[in-house]
Amino acid sequence: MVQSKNNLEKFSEIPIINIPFNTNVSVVHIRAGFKATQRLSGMGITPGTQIKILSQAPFRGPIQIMVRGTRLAIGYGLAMKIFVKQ
Amino acid sequence: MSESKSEDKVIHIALAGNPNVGKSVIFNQLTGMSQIVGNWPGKTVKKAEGKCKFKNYIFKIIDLPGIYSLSTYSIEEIISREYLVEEKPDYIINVIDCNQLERNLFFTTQLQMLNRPMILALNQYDVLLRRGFDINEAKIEEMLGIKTQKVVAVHNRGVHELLEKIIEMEESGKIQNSKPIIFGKEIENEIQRLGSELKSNEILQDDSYSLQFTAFKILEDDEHIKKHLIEKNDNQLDHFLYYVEEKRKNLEDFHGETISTILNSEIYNIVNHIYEESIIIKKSSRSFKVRNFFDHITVHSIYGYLILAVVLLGTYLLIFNFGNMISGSMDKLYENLTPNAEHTLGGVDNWIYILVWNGFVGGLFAGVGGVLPFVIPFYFFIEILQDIGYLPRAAYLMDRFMHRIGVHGKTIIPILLGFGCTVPAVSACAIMETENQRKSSIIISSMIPCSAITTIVMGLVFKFRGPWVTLGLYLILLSVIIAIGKILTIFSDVEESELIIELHDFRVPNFKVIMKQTWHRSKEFVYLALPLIIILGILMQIFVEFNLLDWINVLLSPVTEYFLGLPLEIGVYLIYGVLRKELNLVLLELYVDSQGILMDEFLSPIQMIVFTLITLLYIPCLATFVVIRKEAGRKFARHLLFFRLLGATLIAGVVYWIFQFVSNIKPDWTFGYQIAITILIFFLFLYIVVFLIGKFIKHRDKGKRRRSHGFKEFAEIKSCNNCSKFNKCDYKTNSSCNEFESLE
Ligand SMILES: Nc1nc2c(ncn2[C@@H]2O[C@H](COP(=O)(O)OP(=O)(O)O)[C@@H](O)[C@H]2O)c(=O)[nH]1
Ligand SMILES: [Mg+2]
Repeated sequence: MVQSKNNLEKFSEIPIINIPFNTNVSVVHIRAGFKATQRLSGMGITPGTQIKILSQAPFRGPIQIMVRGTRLAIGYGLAMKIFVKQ
Repeated sequence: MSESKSEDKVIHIALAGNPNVGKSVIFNQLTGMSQIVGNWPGKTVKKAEGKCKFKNYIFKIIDLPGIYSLSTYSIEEIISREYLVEEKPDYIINVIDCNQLERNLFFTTQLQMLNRPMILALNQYDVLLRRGFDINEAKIEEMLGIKTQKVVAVHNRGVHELLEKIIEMEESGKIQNSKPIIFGKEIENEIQRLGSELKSNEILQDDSYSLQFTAFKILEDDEHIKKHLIEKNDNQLDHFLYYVEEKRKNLEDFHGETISTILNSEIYNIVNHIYEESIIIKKSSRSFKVRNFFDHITVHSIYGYLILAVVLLGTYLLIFNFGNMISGSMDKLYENLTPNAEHTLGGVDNWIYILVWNGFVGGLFAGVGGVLPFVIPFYFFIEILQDIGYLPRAAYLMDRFMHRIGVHGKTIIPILLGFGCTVPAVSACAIMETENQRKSSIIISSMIPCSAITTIVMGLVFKFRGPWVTLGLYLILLSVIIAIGKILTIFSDVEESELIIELHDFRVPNFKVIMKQTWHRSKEFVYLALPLIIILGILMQIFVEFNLLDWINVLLSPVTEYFLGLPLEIGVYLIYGVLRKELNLVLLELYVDSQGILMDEFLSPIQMIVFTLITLLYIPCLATFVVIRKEAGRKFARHLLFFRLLGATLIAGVVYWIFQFVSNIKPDWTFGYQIAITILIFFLFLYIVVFLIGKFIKHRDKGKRRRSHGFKEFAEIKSCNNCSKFNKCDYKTNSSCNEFESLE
């Protein structure tokens, strides 16, 4: 029972790209490579961090997010690997 | 130190912190003009050192590159880390922006683990107050166990107090090293245990790295620490490393995360606690409404691009016209002075006249007149954009398009500058974040046709062959640049070229800082490039004097005449372009005039195109070469030179031979059709070349396996959405996810 609930939760992780603007979400996973993960945590993004998308550049451009009081731009490809839940 | 009195004690200080917090401003306030700016040996990273005398002490200060963490993501991080542990500065001044306390403290905690004497500069305190916050200094001092000082670097407030605090520590005799940080119970236990293992087995044989830092980093599987320890222990470390591996596995399995994620989250927990305890909210402020508007509009999907276009085009035109004006009047001045010089120096044929006036003064004017009026305003322009914080926004807007040609979004800046002058464009590549990105951008932006090259294209191809052929020529250039970009992507790490950049708030530009920076950069350039330009000017005159030109032409003829189908006499004019690109054409025109023929009699249509193409692609001008060498090292500059020469010759040759082929099959077509078909065939050729290189590289890499965290493997596994342990899941080998099955 507990396990299947756990399982369901897993499915509710969505790439941050698919979240509407200005919604507060929290990071669940960063499924990027070692270096990119390191870099993201240096910039303040780790699992559990509250973030919010502010905008996205056109044609699958980078997204602009708000993390710990700073604004970051993150390339589309990498943003696809940041999974969040509401 | 001969100039210092014997009682003056020397204290070494390192300024460390995130990018853009104000380290350089503090550094400049302290050291003033007594600073040396160079590069770290063999690297594209700037190294600024300086000293200042304060109260019977001589402070030797180094401004470390701005970094976010002490991991090994970028060359800056490695450099800073090695400097801190190996050179052992007496004190570290950790400069932080107190408006971004959390992220800055993340770095602070890593410095703390190094267990060195340290002091915290809470910079940009003015902004914090303006935003309606305050900071509880005592609380921070208590929680971190290090001394702090509020600083407003731009107004020189609190800067020298930093030194006073250091002197205080020095004189009180109790220099306190930063305390090790205390993690949550679970991690703390692991680190403690690893620490005592390290100690009892005497693995950490020197005191370069602190116990806690080593334990932390070895648990994190940090390659550098591992290598360091293995070297120190003559490879007798398998047992210990196996032990660490076990510990790491346990943690990863328990949390279902990679180890660095676990550890970094842990640090953020600590930091977040400090942040919440020490930030005081006073009132909400108004002045930020206006800035919010600018922040919003400059990244807007439509207005953002409009603003970008206006900013860049406007500045470009402004500087271009200004540069041309100065440069033109300098040329006039030279011409006007020539008759006088002829008179004083003994006539046109006198060798003193030729060496001194044509060579030395000519070279001086070429440098001062032809390069500086463009270079200095461009430096000024980059500094302003940098200072107000616009550059990251341009990168954000352009990232998508830049990715298409295989480079990072920020490269848009050097590329746009490159249309004006390649020299500042290459310097601007310093804004890129990693060494590889910097090198890629240097390669790409040094190929952008600068204003001098544009003059040649307009004066030759456009004038004699019209707009369509000119367009064709630019298309060839564009395709070559894209091809190079693609080849660079094949060699680089995909994730590394992903944009991760901070969009900090707009700032009111600080003109003092901007002027200082522009001055420093221009001075550097003048010292480096001007002597070389002058020497080359003199050398060329010697060539003319001793009639060596014909020999050069003959020497070059296998390439110029036979492979590229150009007239024999043209060889030497290609060499002139090294000094200043437009000399290629200017001097050739003079020569053709002196032969009493017209340019389009001297060069056939295809020869004109081949000549211009070679000029576009071959070696960068001397000034550019000097800057590349300074920014990226001798070896890189030499390689670049070699490949540019080779590449340009090959490409121009290929175009020439394709054209020969086409015009032989269809001799009755007009030139326009022939060249159009030639260009199309060339595109196809280029495409095949890039494709084959890609195939070759992938094939070669197949045998080598990347690290377990590596991107490639992840790419294969990512189809497994069912379990969290993406890098452990056997989905690809078992064709089903273990975790998922066990759940069902
Ligand atoms: N308002 C304000 N701005 C500052 C302060 N210190 C630095 N700056 C600005 O912050 C920006 C970055 O400073 P810089 O020294 O280049 O940062 P670095 O990357 O750490 O070397 C510059 O535009 C400075 O004008 C400060 O105390 N107050
Ligand atoms: Mg700096």
